[in-house]
Amino acid sequence: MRVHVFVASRNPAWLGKCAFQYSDTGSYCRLPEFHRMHDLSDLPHNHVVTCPFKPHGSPVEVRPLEPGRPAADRGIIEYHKLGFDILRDQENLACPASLMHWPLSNGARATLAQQAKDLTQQFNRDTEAEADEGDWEFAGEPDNPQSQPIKHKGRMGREPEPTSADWALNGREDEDIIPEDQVVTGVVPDHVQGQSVGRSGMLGHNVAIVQGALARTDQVISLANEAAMALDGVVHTVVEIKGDGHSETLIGWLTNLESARLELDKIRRHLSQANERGQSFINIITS
Amino acid sequence: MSGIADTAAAAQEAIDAGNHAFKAIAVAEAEIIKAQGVVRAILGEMESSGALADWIMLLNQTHSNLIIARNTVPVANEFGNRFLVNLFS
Repeated sequence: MRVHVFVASRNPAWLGKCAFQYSDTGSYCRLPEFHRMHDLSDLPHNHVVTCPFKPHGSPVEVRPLEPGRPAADRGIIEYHKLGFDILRDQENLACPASLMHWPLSNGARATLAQQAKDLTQQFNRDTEAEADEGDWEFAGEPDNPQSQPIKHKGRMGREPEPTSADWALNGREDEDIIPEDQVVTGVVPDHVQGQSVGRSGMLGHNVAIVQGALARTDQVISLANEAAMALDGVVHTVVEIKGDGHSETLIGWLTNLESARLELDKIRRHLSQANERGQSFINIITS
Repeated sequence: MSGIADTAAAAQEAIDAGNHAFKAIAVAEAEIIKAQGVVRAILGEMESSGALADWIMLLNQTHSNLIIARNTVPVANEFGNRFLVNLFS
């Protein structure tokens, strides 16, 4: 129910203006237009007006507005809530602003709803017609009719003409499909509360890398074996040359050869252990 | 004289075998360095584990042994060259 408060004051700031439109239905009120049509400047200051919707017609005191304070707690008018039943007994009751008869009958409600629907549809038709005219200053170039909209949610735009069928992903790069060799980090942490999350997106790639390293160590083992065999031949030859002699040169030669031979034995031993560790590591990550 | 020639030939053959061993050790060292790089990359990328740490430690030891062997074999060959020089001097 609408309650209209007319402000009558000689204050030139709000002379002739409406205090506020108070309505519990929240509908649009044409009160300012009503006030424009009716000059209230002739009314004396703090004129007491009568609320037309109060059942007993008690006067409502109108006080000037206090800027900065909301109308609800200004205490300008007495808050009263009227039901439609109260107005049903009254005859010829019309809102002075909207000039509508209250309470609304079912026919009046239907008419209002139909009018709102018609206005909305007409507005939509006018908007589409205005858009179809094409007389936009910043309309831009029209889209390629062969192009397709971007399928990514939340994105606007068009994709170029596809070179192949849409179902073949090679023709369209889908941002949501992550290639196998691309690691996406930062979305899921690697460790949560000290424990590994155990992402295995790069498992195959890492296993291949580890096996490649194992192959290298195998190659080193074969090279060490080759060097060891060569040094064995050298030692055998030097021992034959030396015989029972005490040549310091040959003794020095043999000493260094044996030192190198010992290092090669250590190399083969360490690399075999390293290969065992590498293989166990592969078993761990693949398990 | 034929004894000296045979001895010299045998010594030269031993020196050549030593050089062959030296080349094999040098190639092995290069391969070990590559393997170390790969394993260190895995160590930095994946979670650390005991097997991976042992692996890199053994590779490091192997690299050290290879360096020692690579430095020792030329010294041995130098003795062989000195022997040859003394043989004909």
